Amino acid sequence: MATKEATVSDTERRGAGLPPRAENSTDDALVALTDAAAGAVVHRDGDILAVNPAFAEMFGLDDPATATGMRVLDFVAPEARARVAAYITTPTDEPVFHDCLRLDGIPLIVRGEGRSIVFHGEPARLTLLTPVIDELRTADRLHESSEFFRLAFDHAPIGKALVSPEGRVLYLNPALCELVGFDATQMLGQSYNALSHPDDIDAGTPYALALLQGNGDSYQIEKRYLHANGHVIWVAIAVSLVRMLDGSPRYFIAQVEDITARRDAEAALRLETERFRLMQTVAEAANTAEDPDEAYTTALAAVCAHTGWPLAHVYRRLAEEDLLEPSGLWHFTEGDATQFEPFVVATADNTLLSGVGLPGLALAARRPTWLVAGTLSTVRAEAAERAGLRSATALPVFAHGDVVAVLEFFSHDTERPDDALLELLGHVGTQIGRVAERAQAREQAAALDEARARFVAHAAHELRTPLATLRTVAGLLGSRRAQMTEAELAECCELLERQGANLDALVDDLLDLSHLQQVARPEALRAVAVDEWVTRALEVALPPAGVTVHRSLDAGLCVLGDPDRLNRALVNLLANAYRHGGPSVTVRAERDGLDAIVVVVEDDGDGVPEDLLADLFEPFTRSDRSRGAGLGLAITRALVEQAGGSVAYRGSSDQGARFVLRFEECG
Amino acid sequence: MSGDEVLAPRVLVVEDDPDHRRALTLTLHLGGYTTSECGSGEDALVQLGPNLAKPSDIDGVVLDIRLPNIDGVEVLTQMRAQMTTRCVPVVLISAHASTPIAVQRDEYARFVPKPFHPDQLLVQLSELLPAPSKNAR
Repeated sequence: MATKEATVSDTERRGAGLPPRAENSTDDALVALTDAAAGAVVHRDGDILAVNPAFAEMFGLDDPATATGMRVLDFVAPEARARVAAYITTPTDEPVFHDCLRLDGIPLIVRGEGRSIVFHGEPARLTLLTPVIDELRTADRLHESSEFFRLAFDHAPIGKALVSPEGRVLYLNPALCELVGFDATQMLGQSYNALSHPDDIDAGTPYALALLQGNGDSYQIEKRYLHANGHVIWVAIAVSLVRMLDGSPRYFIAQVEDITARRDAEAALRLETERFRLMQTVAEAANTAEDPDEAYTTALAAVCAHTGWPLAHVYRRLAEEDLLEPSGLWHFTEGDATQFEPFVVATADNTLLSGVGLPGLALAARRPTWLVAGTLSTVRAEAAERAGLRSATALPVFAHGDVVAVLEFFSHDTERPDDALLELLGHVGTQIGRVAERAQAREQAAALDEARARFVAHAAHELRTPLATLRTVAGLLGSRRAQMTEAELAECCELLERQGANLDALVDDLLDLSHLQQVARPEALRAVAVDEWVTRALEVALPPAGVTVHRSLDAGLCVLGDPDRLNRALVNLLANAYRHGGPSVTVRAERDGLDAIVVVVEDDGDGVPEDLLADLFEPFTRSDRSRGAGLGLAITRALVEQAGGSVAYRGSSDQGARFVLRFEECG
Repeated sequence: MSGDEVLAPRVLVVEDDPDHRRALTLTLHLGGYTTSECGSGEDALVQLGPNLAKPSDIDGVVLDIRLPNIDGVEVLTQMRAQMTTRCVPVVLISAHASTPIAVQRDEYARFVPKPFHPDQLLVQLSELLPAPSKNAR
């Protein structure tokens, strides 16, 4: 050390701000302390022996004398004390940066340069201190403070910082200041980590420690900073450690790039991808599930996985009613379902009308709906609160345009799903509804198959009735004709003839009905005058002996219909009245309401037996007294409906049968 | 009628379709039986003896199953519940193809599905109630 100092001339020393050499003398130190630079004489045990006025000013002391007897470490930032203590024990002649503290607590970065001296006969250390900013700005002796270096720093388009090994800001360039929204003067001496988002504050620490321990020279990470005005900034940071000649850490250089836009784009893409996956899962379930419940369960799980919602349930809509019934189909995302048990129990009997409760609101609104728990005072509100459920989202499931179920999802927070998510949930409801549509179609097809099978069975039975007589009589004629009398032979022929005709009529009716049920409504309905229609029908359906038909027709009535079908329908009703009614049958026609006309056929018989009313217009419904196959009224209804009207039974056992045909008035 | 014919067994034909009833009656006459006839279950029970309490002159019954109000199976059940008609032979006929359970466990009952050849009916009936061959035409 002495050897080295001996190689520096006094002139050079003055130029460097150091006092002229007066080796190992007290005077040497005193000269130094009168100099303009802040200086301190320190015992090697760390006690301050003397400071000069410049030091006192720099560290906020009123009187330089008060420093005597204090310890160097009293002026060092806590996190830097270990390093400074080591420096005192094993000093070096290289300039060293120190994280210092003024007495008033203001941090201070200084550059120190020291040498060994004898002070009052004791070995001591004289250290001259210069503020680091001044050092960087003015000194051109050190490479890091050169004008070139400063320009490169200050004009770099990306953020750059110099950070002490202890993590204090030595310097920030304007780009970084702009990035984080702070002034350089606000940041100098502060912890560099103060820029970090609270959640990412230690993101770089392990890497920085590794560098300080000599493992590697640099690292790169991506983390979040918090802008001065509070918003989050994503940054990519490349940090290098600059070392001194002996390899000990000098300072960190950090390069900071704003990657917020890229991170936002990545997050958006990730969200898009997740939502696409959700729809893929739902679409697959919608395509393959046999049972709507299976599809609902898949949708509950997929939506919960996407959103992180812990609980979900299905309300089923009762067919054709504005009533929702809990299905008991639940999805629990969190492993422990017991916390939700009271809520599940509270739901079990909670049937909801349209507009009531969140599912009822979604049913009424026909779109995904979100609510904060407790907004509605429902029986489930208290249980929801106890289960920590604070908001919920419900989505209607559509089949053929009707809501068939409502899926409800519960959340622990009160964050409203964004519009894009609500729209997505709307699509989930439409997709999943396809399974319900298929199930409905299957049920309808099965019902149709059953009806068809029943029709065929009925028809077969009706066909066998005339066939029974035909076959018996034909058998007799075949094997026993020789034994038969002339009268018996004649009777057999008569039976054959009559049953053949019955069979023929029955087949006609069956074909008629089948045809009417298949053929769509005729395209061209036209105006039919009611009085002409009734007259024509009565010409075909002549009343039998003992029956009188009364006409009571308002004048000028005209309906929209198909004349042939109207005629056959009325003939059927008249024939029915003749067969089952009393001696008097009445045909009335009158206006009903603003634009409808009713044509009524009534008799004074006993009316239709109670037990037939439910299926009166279904094929093969007939009374015990009837001789027909029970197809007449089924055919009548098909005819009337095809002619654009409707038919209903309004009779009673006291007043006789009354059939009411209703049509749109032709204006 | 000759004296021999008086001995012919009397069969009650219960069938609501008049034409088929007539065909059945004709068949039975040609098979050597005499007949009574009616179109409902209620009438059948009357003809079989008021409330089935006392014996009637009916030796056998050809009984359609599908009848208004009281159907053929019900008539058979009521007959079997009374001493006087417990063993009266019955042939049930129906357009339904399967043999009713009431017939399956009744040794005095048979079932013939409609439509049938008249000989089918006569064969089944004669097993339970033979007609004297001299009466058959």
